[in-house]
Amino acid sequence: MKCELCNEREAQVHITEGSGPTEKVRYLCEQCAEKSLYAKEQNKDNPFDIQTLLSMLAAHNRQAQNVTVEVPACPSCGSTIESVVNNGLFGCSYCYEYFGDHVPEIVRRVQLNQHHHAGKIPVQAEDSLRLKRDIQSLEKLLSEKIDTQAFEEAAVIRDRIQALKDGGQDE
Amino acid sequence: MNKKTSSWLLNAKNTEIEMSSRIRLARNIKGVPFTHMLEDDEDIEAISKLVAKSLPDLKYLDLSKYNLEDRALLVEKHLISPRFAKSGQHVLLNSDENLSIMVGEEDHLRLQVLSMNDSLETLYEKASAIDDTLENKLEYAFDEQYGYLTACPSNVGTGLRASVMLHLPALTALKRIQGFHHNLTRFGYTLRGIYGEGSEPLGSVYQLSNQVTLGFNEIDIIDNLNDLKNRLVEEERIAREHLKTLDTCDAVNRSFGILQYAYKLNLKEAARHLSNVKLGIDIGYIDIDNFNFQEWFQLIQPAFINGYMNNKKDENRPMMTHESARASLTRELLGGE
Repeated sequence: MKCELCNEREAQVHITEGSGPTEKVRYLCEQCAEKSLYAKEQNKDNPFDIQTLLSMLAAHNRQAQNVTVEVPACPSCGSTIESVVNNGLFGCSYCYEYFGDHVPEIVRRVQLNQHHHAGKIPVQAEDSLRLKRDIQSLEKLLSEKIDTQAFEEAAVIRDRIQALKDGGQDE
Repeated sequence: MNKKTSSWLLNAKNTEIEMSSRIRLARNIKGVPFTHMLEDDEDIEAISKLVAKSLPDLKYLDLSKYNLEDRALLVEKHLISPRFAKSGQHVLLNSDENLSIMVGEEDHLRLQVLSMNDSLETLYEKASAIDDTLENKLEYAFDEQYGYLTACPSNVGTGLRASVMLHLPALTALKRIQGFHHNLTRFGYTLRGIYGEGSEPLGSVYQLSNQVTLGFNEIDIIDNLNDLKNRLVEEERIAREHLKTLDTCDAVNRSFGILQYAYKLNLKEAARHLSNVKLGIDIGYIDIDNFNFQEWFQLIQPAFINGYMNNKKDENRPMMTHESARASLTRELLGGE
């Protein structure tokens, strides 16, 4: 049997459209079937997919604040904040850092107002994160010691912080 | 390619209400733009080679070598996404077909594990162990505040999507799904028809999954999902008590008759009748050995029916259409004539 669309190649695929009394089976070749499925996907008018929602919300927000912000494109991948908002997709991981001011708003809307990762940490990132957290807690301790004028202890803590920053291990 | 049902599903024990579970992790590689920004396949191919090297037990499939029907079959087995069937190329699978890694989906890596009998916790441990193995060869895009960075902000953080398939015919019949869906959304979870959108999905089969991936750790996401699942299962049980009527008994047995004797069945009908019979078995109105609901639900899907028709070609049945093939299949499965 020849393909119903191109009438040239052999029909290999059966596509069922609709259901019940309106069900229609079309016999197509692989190329035409692929084209027809792709067209269907493009025409799919689903107003509630996440990308559409995101761009609607962002447009609404900009209107409400009556601002038009000009942010240059991400130097790493070339995405603009408009393209991120319209596609609902960031272009690369650097976008998260580069569009820093806009990211919390975009993320919170789809993440039920959550804004901080609380899950697994890759082993490779674990060491540097731990180091960062150690330094932060020592800095807090340092400022407490200075407040209470315990300068000798403060000096020891300062040296430990410096050692950590220089890449050494906290003894 | 394996044209039959995946072995994990064949060997699964039959369960009431609760069907299979799935854990999916989304990961991206540091320094490589997200898939939709890439102009060619070079980076994705390189990533897929590293994945294959890290996990030598997995089988690599180059989808560009498969025809549309075979790719549709992988979608119906839930091993790849419909979008990936159209535009994706590199997939890795294990032999049981309960582990798949799509390379170059919306995120560079989409790793998923499926099971009928394992808990979501066990599945997460499996997925996480594979994730650790991959991390030895690949450096992930990770940020202290936003966690694992993903193309779509709806996956950022843990990159985790945990889901359970549920058969909820009584809650569907009593029109209570919409109310649950509404409440679940407020907790960052969702309940939707797995085959086809809308208020009455195919065969009353739903998928309960988390929507929020940030701000909670993986175990909390899974624990909450389990609590919500148990609640739904309990509600379905209660609803079933209300359905123990002559009308239900009649519907169950009519459906059994149709599956055994019909000569034409479209997908929606076949799904509805399988769902009715499954309900009938669960509430004790009918007794059928080896009624494998989830497997058969898969077998009536279009790509599987295509495969069935190809197998029957030799039998010289030129008049066979999708609908008649589906009816022929259910007659065979349920021992009708």
